[in-house]
Amino acid sequence: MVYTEIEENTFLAHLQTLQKPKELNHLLDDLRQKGWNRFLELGLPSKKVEAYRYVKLRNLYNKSYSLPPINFQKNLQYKDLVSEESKHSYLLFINGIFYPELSDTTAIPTSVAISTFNTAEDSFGSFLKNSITKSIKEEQDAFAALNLGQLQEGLFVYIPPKCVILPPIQIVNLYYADFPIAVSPRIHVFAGKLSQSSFATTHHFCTSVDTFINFVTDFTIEEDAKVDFFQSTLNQPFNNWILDATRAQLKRNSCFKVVCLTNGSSTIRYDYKVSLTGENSEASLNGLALLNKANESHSHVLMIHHAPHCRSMQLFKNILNDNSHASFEGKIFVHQIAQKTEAYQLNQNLLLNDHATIESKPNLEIFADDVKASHGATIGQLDKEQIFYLQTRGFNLSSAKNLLIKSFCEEILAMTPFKYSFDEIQPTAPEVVN
Amino acid sequence: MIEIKNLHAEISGKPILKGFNLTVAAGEIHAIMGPNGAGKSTLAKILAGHPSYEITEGEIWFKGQNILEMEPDERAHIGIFMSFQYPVEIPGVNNVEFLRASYNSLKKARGEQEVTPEEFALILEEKMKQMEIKPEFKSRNLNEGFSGGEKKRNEILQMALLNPSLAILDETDSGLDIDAMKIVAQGVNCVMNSDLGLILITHYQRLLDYIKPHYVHVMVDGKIVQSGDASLALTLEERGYDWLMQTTHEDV
Repeated sequence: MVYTEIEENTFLAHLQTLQKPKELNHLLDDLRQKGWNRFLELGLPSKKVEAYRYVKLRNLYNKSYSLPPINFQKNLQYKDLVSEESKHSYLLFINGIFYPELSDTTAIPTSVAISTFNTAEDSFGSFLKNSITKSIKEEQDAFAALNLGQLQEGLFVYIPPKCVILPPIQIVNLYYADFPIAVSPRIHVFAGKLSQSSFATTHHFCTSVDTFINFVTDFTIEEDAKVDFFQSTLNQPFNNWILDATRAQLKRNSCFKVVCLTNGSSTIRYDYKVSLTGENSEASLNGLALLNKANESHSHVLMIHHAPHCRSMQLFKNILNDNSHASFEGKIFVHQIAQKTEAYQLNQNLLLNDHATIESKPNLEIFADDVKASHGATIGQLDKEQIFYLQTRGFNLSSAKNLLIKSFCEEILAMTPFKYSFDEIQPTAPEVVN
Repeated sequence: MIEIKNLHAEISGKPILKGFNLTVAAGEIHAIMGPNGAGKSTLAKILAGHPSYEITEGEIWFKGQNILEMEPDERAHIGIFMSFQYPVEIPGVNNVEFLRASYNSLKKARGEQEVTPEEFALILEEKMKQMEIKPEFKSRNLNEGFSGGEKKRNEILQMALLNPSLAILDETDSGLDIDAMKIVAQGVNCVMNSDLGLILITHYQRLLDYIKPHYVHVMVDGKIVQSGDASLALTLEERGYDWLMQTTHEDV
């Protein structure tokens, strides 16, 4: 125990050294200070912090990272990482820095403002500052606060009212370094009234060194607006730590839908906080993790119903092979004022192996009396009778198992904006079953 | 075509089949009747290759091969088909894709060219028309949300597509009302041909009003205790199984 504390203190001191010096840029300096202060208030999570109970933080704390290099060859191959659906609507980030000249936004209406926090300062400075200040005050996750504290440069996307963006906007995150790096990208999206948009974040590593990605995406969704958000961390190198926080605030009649696909890594943790603040708003969070080897994937959800007549759905599925480890912890919080709430939560897990571990903690806290809510978790293995049935229809054992795994994935796969074949989402070749 | 000799089988150490004998030739329909717990469904599962049962004695010969060591899929490939009493539901797997994959797995095992989705659509179309199955069947997931009757019709459709040499229908009539049963029976009659051997497992005589068996066997306590022609079923309908069970016990 003492040893762990030493590791925590060492890592904290290490993080301090990663703090950016003041740049005399009022907005960025100010935000970093606010983020760092909030992080110190919340404190570096220890094993005792409930939200990180299942995460082996020690494996992060005993590493050391540097800030990513700024000067590097820009002729990196990235075109293949762009999905067909987003080939004229992608934003390229290298080591957390946005490169407009390497991005293609020709399919995005020109009325949409896409800029770094730096360049947004002139037109959106006070708006951005107020919105982030509010968001960071309410932040309960230390790493999401740390992200702002160690902000390199953020991205701000402003979608004007009634604007409809058809193709998904892919945020291609490319990482490149010769030494272990810590990167803290942050994206704020403001979706104006009646607007419609779809975002996708994908992560790609042209490096085999240890990386620590501390990512935050923050959405403000105005009345009657609709935002889809897709997150993908497929086929990552094994030695990555990715902590990815999503924050969303939903106004009246708005709609927010998340789909997440992952194969895990050393640790990938998705943290969601969704606030339904306007009547009749709707949020749907969905995730699918296919894990093998010793990969880990964790999902942590806080769904807060602040207003009446809102709906929220959560569906998280995990398929675990080998020695992999996953956890799901989700809380639905319904305030007293939020009558006529409908809130559902389901975590389904398929264990393909005796050595894999899943931890599931669905959670409801309801203070309103007229609420429809349910939560549940299932943990199971492939059904022997289903396998037998398929075999009698000519499927060999491994193709029968694969078909059943595929059927388990189908519900989530059907929601993704990019089309994936079943083989593409597999952590290894199609033969995943021992 | 199939010869089952002195078959003994158990599950978790509990004997279920105790010296079962049966020979079925191509073009024949054999009905196996018997009280609950006689081992009828166990027999069907063993013929299809269910892994939970252990064969302790006896042989099963099919087209000159001893099939006891064969996997369920290998048995399907050489022409054994079983219609399940409770067909499983598999959400997320489209019915047509499943049927095509199944059809092609047999083609492949026989060293024949697999069919394209377009070719399969035509084959399926014809079979569905024959069996009077509605087109919306195709867009649904495998047995998901199907009524009892729909599931059984899907089983018979699979049988028609896979064109087996031996079909074992396990309680195909259970859970069906009289109209659904007539439709399923009509489907079976439609598929029946002189190259097919059919084993009908049923608890009640009523299915045999619609599918005429050549032979009726009564199974009690893991073996056949009485065999006869179709009229035996009528006798059973009248007298129940008790008189046969008494006879068996006297034998013991």
